[in-house]
Amino acid sequence: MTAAQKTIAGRVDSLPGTPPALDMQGIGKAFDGKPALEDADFTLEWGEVHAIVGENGAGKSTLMNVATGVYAADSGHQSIDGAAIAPRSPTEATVAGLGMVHQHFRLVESFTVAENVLLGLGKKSRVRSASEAAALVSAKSAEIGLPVDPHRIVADLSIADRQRAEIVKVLLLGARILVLDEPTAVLTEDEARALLDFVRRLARQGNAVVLITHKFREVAAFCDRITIMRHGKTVLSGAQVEGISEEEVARLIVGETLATGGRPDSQPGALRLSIKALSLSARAHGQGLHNLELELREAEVLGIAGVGGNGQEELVACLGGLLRPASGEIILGGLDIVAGTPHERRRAGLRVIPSDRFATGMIRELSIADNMALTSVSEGAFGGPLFLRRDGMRRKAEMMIDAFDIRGATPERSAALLSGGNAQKVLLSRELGPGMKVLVAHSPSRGLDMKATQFVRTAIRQAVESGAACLLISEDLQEVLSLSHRVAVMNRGTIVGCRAADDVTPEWIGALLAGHA
Amino acid sequence: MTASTNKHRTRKCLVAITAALLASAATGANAFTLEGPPKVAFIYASSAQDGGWNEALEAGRKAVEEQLQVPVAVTENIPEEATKLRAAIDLYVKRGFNIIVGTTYGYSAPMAEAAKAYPNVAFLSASGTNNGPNMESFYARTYQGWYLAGVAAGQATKTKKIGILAGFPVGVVNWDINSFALGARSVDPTIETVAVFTNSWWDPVKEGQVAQAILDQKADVLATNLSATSALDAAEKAGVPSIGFQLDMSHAAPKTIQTSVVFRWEKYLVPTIKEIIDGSWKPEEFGAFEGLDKGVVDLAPFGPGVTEETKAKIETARQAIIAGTIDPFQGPLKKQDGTVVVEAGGKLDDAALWSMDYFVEGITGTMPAKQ
Amino acid sequence: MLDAAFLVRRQQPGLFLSALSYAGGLAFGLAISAMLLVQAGVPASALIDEFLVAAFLTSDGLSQTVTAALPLILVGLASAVAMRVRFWNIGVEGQLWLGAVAATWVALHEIGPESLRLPLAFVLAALAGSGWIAISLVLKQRWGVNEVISSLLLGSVAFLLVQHLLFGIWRDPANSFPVTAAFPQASRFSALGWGQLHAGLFVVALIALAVWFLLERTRAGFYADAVGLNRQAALATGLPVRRTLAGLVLLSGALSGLAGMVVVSGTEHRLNQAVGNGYLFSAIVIAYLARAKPFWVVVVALALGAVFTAGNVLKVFYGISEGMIVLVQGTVLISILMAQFFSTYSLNRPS
Repeated sequence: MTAAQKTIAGRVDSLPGTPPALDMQGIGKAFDGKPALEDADFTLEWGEVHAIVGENGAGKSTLMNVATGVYAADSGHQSIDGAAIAPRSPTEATVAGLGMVHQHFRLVESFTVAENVLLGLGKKSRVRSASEAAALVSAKSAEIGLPVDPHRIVADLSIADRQRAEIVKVLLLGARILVLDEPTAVLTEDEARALLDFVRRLARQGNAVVLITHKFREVAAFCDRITIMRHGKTVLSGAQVEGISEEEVARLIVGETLATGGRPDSQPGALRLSIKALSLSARAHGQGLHNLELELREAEVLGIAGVGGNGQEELVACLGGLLRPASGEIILGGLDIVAGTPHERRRAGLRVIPSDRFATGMIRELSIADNMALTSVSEGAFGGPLFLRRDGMRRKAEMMIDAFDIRGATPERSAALLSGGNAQKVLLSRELGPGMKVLVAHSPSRGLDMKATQFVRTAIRQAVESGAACLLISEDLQEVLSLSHRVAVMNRGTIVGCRAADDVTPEWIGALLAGHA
Repeated sequence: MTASTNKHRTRKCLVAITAALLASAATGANAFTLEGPPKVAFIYASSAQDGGWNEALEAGRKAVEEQLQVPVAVTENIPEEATKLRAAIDLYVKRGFNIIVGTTYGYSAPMAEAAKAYPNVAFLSASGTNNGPNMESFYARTYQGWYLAGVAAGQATKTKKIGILAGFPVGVVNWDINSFALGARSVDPTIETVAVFTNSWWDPVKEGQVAQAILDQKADVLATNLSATSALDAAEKAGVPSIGFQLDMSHAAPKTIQTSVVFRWEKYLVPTIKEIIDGSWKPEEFGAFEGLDKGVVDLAPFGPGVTEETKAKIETARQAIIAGTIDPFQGPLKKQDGTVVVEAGGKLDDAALWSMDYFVEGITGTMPAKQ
Repeated sequence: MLDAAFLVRRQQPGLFLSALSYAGGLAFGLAISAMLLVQAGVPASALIDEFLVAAFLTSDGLSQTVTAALPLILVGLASAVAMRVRFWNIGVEGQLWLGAVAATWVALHEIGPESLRLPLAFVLAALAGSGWIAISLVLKQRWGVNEVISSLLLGSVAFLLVQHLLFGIWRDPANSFPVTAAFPQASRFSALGWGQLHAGLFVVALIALAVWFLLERTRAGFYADAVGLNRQAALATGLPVRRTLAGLVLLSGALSGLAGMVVVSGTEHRLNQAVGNGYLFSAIVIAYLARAKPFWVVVVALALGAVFTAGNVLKVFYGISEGMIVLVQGTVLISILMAQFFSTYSLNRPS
């Protein structure tokens, strides 16, 4: 019995002999001689939600970029709904019925949703005005049950709104096969659930959906079949999700079983960091902070849960010294650093792992060695006051690459070429260095694969066990609960509740999160 | 800086130039001899067809080519920078060109350096300041022509107010303005001359506006010391007599133009280059500085509105200047503010002409302060 | 058609590929230029002779090329240094004028003992240049005024200042022309006896070396890269962002000012209204083609010096107009930029 004929609950059956929605066989693709895909296979049936799972750099996104014409395959065959096709551009793929929603949305920020759709439809379409496009958007949005306001400027939309706009746009351009690249990485739990519900509904209406994801929970709850990729190859092709265990998936993804995380084995000690009455006026596109108070002890992880956009970015920026709060105190080791420069804060022992690594943590275009040395160079390391010893930086980088097992890294390589997990390791190797007293980690495992996530959590655990204090700000509740001694909830720019991790109940946290209207 | 130190500087400068000339005179007592067949090159800082200064020189160049039957090359758009000019000169010399004519004052000093490096090449520098055994600067006593133009304007004016617009307050411009005013006052000492600097050598739009402003002050004769014809257009429109400069500008104001003060460079270039070829050329110590007598400065044919009486008066003045019985800048000569420059019976020497930085009595207008 | 072929960013263009595309672009640009020039009446046989031989292979041509390249190297470095910290110095000419004014002041007013005239002019020209750009810097850091606008406009102000001086206290005392008197010998770089080349060569070489050292080997150079590439990250990781930015921007102004000094003390020996023209365009072209790398700035400046030399030849002997020369320069520039583009992106055609 083939996979296509097997029935699972609720799924629309493909009739025997019906061609698959998307069929890819023996796909190969190399970049500058380095293979990214080798003999990869993938079959998607109409009516199903099909997960593609794998580590960062395993080839999931590349495979789908080939399918949607972003890259041309070096070898292999592809057909959409039975018709052989080698799309030469995303437009061509969309016309053939295959559309992709990327992690970075392809929307013009200064245009309205309707204008973006109009732009995407292009010259050949009969739609000529933004108002016609707006009508289309409203109709589609109602038809599929995905609320989108066609008249809003994209720049004013939340991430979740933008994602919905992108999905509606892709569907309006003619896609019946939807590829979503890690769509929930940027969403809150509720938003993610709503999106996945929608995706499932869409498939059941006779479309087909490919979901690239890291999260087994999503696979188990929302997907019909799963394809697992490792090192550019398909290691599990289109298996039924029913009956496959998380351990089995993890083993196939990384080739070994992963230990599950746990709280640092440490007893919180003396007060390390206290934030008093911190306030920040709201900026153009941001949340303000209102009388935010918290205390952090040595050898303690204080997890801050909450829906994204409730002031987490602003809190991290105020702590790191990139934003100047209107009032309040930040006392680190008895010293008020609220007016200090980022440099002075670092010297006081503060380290920050920002949620967006390449925005404020690392510099994409610089080499890995440079990125690792970024903070110590300004403290006078590597050479004299004038001369910079690049060989020293290189040796240090080599050591760090070894110690942190940073794959595919050499000191000279540009940081931009690293996968998310390895880039995060570069950042950790630098920030967890000597002198660290307080670590502010904002969504440290966002977008990382399971193995890299484990690595990050272990690194934080070890740092805390050796005495550091960690403020863990994350929208991933699982992450907060598994690492923290105490859990606080952030809502609308302030801390709305805090209790020991052992006392956290789903009711308590749910109520505090729900305070967010 | 005070006026006295400035004067001191001027004197020091002249002393230096004289000393240099004396030194070179010892070696250059013999006439300059040319090596090889004569080949002439003209170098312009902008287009040769600029409707003014360059075009007047270009007419001279054509005369040299026709009358002397020698090869003449032309290069345009060489900026007034030592490196760029020197490179052009080097290239010409290397290909056997041995008579180089530079056409702007900015070329003068770099040409002098080149003249030292190439003693067997003759250098002629229009409106230059440097001279030597194989280099001569040349300019014309344009003020003589402007004096005659002033006579014409003085005859034509009824409001007793005439106007002139000019580029920048440099000596060669100031003497034109002053001489124009003095020529007019030789007809009627009550005539007032309005002088305005445009602070540009070529800006037709601005020149048109300035011309209109002068006419609005009830001036009824308008002269331009610039290369564009906008002032004459304005005068023609207003039906006011006008005077052009550098070339015959009658095409711009056929009805109202009186005359134009023009250069006839062929009167200098043809004989001088002929001397260079013949081996009889001896550069002037302070450069060639000819006027009405040699015809290097002249007036273009008179316009229809010029009376016979005026023509006769101009002719009388011309003959007097050529004969030396009048000099436009003879004493008594007073500055705008009344200070005496030259006592009765005296006249300005050439050094004083070149460094002229004031308006004479009878001119309304502001000379930009020197400091 | 757009979707017939598409561009893919190469992961890391190799050195060989970069060099090859650069050379290819240059060759392509020169070929097009040659066609244009032949069309305009330059005999094809004379082209190589004039272009290559005259600019590089004759003693006079080479000295001319190197002489012309000296100020170009300085303005190229000025532009490159500012580019490193993403500060758009569009006021290179203004700072150059100010530097020239400072050097002229020392020369004409005979400031200080003779042996110290050139060192004094050097220091003052650098200070004048950086002082001029400091205005744009302060305007940007205090009030967020766009430096493109402010530095460009200040360039015009500087030129007006020069005009004011040239028509005022510094006009030629002999005839009032807007040209200063010639500099005394003590204020000129001594000639090296090879064409117009002068001792400024050593000064420029040392400066170029120092800038290379600063950008590629020092702590400040490291900061500069970080600040230029990602200001927020540099700030967040505790780098001295403001100091680095200010330092390099002031250095940029100083280098432009020194270019002015090298022009007036090296070749012109006087100040006039023409000496500073055209350097802004050259500075941007050089820094851009050299990708703000000091070594390549020197190489590109020499190449541009050669283009000027060759352009002079064409103007002198073939009556080629200024417009045609600019067209040729533009053609070569565009070709190289296109080649750079294709070394960064690969053209993918579906198989």
